[in-house]
Amino acid sequence: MDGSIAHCFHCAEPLLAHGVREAAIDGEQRKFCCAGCEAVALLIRDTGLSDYYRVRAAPALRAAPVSDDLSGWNSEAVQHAHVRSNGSRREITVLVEGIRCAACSWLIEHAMLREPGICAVQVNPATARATFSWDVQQTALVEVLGALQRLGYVPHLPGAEGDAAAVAQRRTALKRLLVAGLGMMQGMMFAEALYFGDGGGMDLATRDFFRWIGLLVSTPVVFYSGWPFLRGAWLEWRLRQPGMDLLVSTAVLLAWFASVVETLRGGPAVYFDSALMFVFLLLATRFLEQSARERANAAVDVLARAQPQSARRVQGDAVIDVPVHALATGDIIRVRPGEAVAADGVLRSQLGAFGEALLTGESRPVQRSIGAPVLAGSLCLDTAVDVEVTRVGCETTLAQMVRLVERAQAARPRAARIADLIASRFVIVLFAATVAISIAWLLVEPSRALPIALAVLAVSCPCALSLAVPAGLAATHARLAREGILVVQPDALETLARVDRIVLDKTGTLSSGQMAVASVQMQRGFPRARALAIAAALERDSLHPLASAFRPFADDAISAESLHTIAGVGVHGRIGDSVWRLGSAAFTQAEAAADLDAVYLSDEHGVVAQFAIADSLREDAVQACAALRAMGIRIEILSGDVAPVVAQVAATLGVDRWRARQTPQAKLDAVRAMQDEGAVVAMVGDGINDAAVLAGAQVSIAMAEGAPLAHAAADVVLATPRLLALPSLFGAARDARRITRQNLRWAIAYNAVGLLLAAFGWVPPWAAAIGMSISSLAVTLNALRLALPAGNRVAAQVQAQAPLVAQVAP
Amino acid sequence: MSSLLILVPISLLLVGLAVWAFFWATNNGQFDDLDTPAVSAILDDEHDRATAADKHAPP
Repeated sequence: MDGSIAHCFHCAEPLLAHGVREAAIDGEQRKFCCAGCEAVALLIRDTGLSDYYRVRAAPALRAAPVSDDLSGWNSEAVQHAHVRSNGSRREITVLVEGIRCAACSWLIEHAMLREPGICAVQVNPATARATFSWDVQQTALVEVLGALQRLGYVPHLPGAEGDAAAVAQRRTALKRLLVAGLGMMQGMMFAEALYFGDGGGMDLATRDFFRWIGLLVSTPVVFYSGWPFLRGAWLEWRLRQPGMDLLVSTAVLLAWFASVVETLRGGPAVYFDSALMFVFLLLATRFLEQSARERANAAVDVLARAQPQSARRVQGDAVIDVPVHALATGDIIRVRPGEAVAADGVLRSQLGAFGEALLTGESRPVQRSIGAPVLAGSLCLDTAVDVEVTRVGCETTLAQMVRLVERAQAARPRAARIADLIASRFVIVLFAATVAISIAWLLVEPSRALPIALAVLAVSCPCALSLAVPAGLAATHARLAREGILVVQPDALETLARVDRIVLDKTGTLSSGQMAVASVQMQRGFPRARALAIAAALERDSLHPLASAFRPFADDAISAESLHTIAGVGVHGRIGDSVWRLGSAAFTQAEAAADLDAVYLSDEHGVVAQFAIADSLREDAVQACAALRAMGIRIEILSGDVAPVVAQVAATLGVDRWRARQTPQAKLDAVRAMQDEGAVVAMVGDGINDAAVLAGAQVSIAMAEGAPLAHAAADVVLATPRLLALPSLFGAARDARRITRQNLRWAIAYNAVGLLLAAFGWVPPWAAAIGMSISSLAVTLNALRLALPAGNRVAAQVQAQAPLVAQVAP
Repeated sequence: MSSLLILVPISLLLVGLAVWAFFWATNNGQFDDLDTPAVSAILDDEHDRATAADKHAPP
């Protein structure tokens, strides 16, 4: 490397004049070309893997001509819908064809980061998705994807085009599996004959006949069915990054070639059956793994498909069909019943009912009136409505949600990276061990050296080890996304499982932020319903937050004229013959002992009613708190609101630890104090006002109702208004931790025991092949348990420990 | 033993046939969706559903 030009410490790209970042790595100040490189380098430093920088191979890959045409990726539609920009950086998430196991992702991540201009690469083998971010000043999308193709992987857009590719991939996988299965059955039949023949009596001509048939049957299995392994092995070999495929291919080819040689020269034994079994069982495992992966993706793909591809734009009197990317802010679109809304917007029709189950997990139809926001992807239910577009393309809430989930799925937490690293080092150790064991057996008993080498290679393939973490995460993400819970920070799940203290904000979190009339006190015997209707009429056009509390009481028979709003105090207007005033005590001339927080209604003769307005608790707040307590999590409420209100909320919820009138700084200090006591604190807030407190807690959870999701500075975003999502989130995190640990323990134990048994010659090659497949299968199936919804279990806990709540629950 | 010279080729032929039939079925999309067909039999047809909805629709 040239010493005169400064290079990025991580990606070794020459540093540009601007945008250089600095950070301390191993006590030295290092320079980085971009935030992505800095973040990766810091991550590597923090995980104690700085050795990577000392041992990594420097030369970049020689560029091969790009075979497939990538110019389609330059189209405006792709750029608009799939590429996110941040300064000069661009980011895209693509579906990658050809990812077969964790080794591939390791390869892509390491090789892609050496390409010029690529700042960050995240690959998740469990979902076959990769996120690349690059600097437009140094490279272009086509270059990035070209580099991916040179590695032997094909990028696809997540969505329709990717589906066709996925179907083709699945069909090919199925064919390979069947050829391997039928071939194995045939091959075993002939091998069985050979085993029996060994006992005595089979003449040499018959034996050789069976061997040649075995060769005939096994050849297509090894080279057609086993092609994915051979191709992967070749890539790994070319890049000098040994992985699982190399190990598998070595074992298969060794068994096959040795058998061919034995057949030709009439040697003592053939191993066609081992090669056949190895290929079939591995393919079967990978096929199941792939199916599980597709299932995990389904949750996200359902979201991605919720947005229609075209919309009906109203132009004057005409309604014309336009593609969704042609929509612009301010357009009016007409949505018919049964159709999904194409963009975020504001309702222009009087009333409309929408299904938002996909977006928020809310299964009941939601009524919206004129002026209310409507989200892209929500389903129009009974009548056709007009919507004025306010946000299009990748700015819609739906697109942001898809992106959050995709980013979370593509991101790989520390634990997964460590498991990968161990697995890839393990492969190198394993090759060395195999050679050593073979040499030892050649000295002791030469005839057994080959079968034992085969068994060692087969039994100790660390597939299960590197599957354990990603499989569990994919399943957990899928389950949470279905409930409207998006885990944005990959490491958050690990911390969530350890949480023992939860801090709740009141407004916007425990309460919905919707104002409601909490109590009414009548004076002078005025009818209660009429007072509310008059108040509603006075507040009809008001935008004040308190006004919405009266909206449900509006009565068409009563309408107010000459309305005047006096900012900060109230509103007055004429109804019938009298002038009514609604507002503060002073404005309505209430008595001296008046409550300063209340709202009064008065006419010329004085006050008729006193209203107390409060924002209402969420329906399931009581249940959610009971469930959290049942899980052993201590609840604390920190609110900016006044003490009596907070005290009442805390009493309703059965929470005995609360503090009122808290500034953001005071909240942060309180969280810090809890952390000093050793508590692992989760902070739940609305994600905007309390960003500082959210950042201070170990895990932050944002209720993202209405707020722009992408701006919510939180580890976890709840896209659902249900508070019961909280216990289900903690439950899922605990399950994920428990099952992932189980898997890791099992995988390590299996590999260690298997290697020892095989080295001493106690495992025949065919049994090794079965053992390896079963271990991977056990890990995958165990992880799939995480995808099951936990709703029933939480409900059961609540009923067992909080009888009061059991009566409330349906 | 001479029967083997006939039986073994026959078994190989049958396997070849099975592979051909399976490839044909796969390429024709028989295995693309293994969940829907099982359920579709008990669902109403598009036509029936539409008329049922008309009946229940509010006037």
